[in-house]
Amino acid sequence: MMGDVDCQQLLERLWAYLDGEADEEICVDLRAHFARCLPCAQHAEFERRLREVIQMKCRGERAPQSLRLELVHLTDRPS
Amino acid sequence: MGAAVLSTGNPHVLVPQEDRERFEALVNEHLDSLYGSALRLTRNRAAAEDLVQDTFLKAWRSFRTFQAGTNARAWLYKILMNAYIDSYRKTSRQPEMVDHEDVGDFYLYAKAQESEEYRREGDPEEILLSKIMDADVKAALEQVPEPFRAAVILADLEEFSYREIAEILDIPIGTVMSRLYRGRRHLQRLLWDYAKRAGYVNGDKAGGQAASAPPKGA
Repeated sequence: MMGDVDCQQLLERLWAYLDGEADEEICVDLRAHFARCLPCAQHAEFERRLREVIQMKCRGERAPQSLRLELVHLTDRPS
Repeated sequence: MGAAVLSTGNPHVLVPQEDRERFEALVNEHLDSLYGSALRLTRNRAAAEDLVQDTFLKAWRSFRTFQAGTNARAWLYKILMNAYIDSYRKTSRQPEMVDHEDVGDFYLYAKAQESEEYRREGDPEEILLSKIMDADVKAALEQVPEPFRAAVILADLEEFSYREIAEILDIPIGTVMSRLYRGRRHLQRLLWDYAKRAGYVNGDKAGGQAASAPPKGA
């Protein structure tokens, strides 16, 4: 039980929290902290949006069609 | 008879049609994301194609041991990562352990906060995010050294859980977390440099665009 978190404790847990990996108890405490500490809430929001930008810029590759065809033909071989 | 076939190397053995179809469905569902990850890992299209081909070849060979209903995506990524790690071991390149001096966990946020220039232009976080939007984020990610890059790709792009990444890389969860957080620190530091560069390239225009970006809700 963490109880009242301070800003430093929040930072130590922020990534686990944003990754959806923090325990429920910790999530509750962090949300309570965000509700009364605007800078921490803004910081968490920044990290969340940063990840969205990284995903937007780095995802969405399409494999070449030639590769897709080759792979589908793998099944001509015995498994 | 077809179902009893486990023998290798006999091209005349009949592969059950059902297996072919299941495998082809697997290829179609996961190929693009595996290829995207392979590209970020190898930083090279030809190498990425080879890696993905190797992955699916191995997947097909052990397809019979793969239980339907288990996590196919994690299974494929485990094969991919094993093949990737093997390939960089073979080329005798050691994992690039070169490390920047450690910067804090949240480098970019701190930089945005302390930037007088951004503050003058308006909302510093918003301006930084829009500069990163204009920057070559792929190139920055590809510069994060291994083994940290793999952890960032699996967590931040592919959104695997810590537990799944531990399984895929065959490492303890604590190691997943330390690689991932360290990888993010690298990435944030690199992104800061790339964002600055993107700003210079676009000169005044980039500043103008950023300043006229829609205000943050709330």
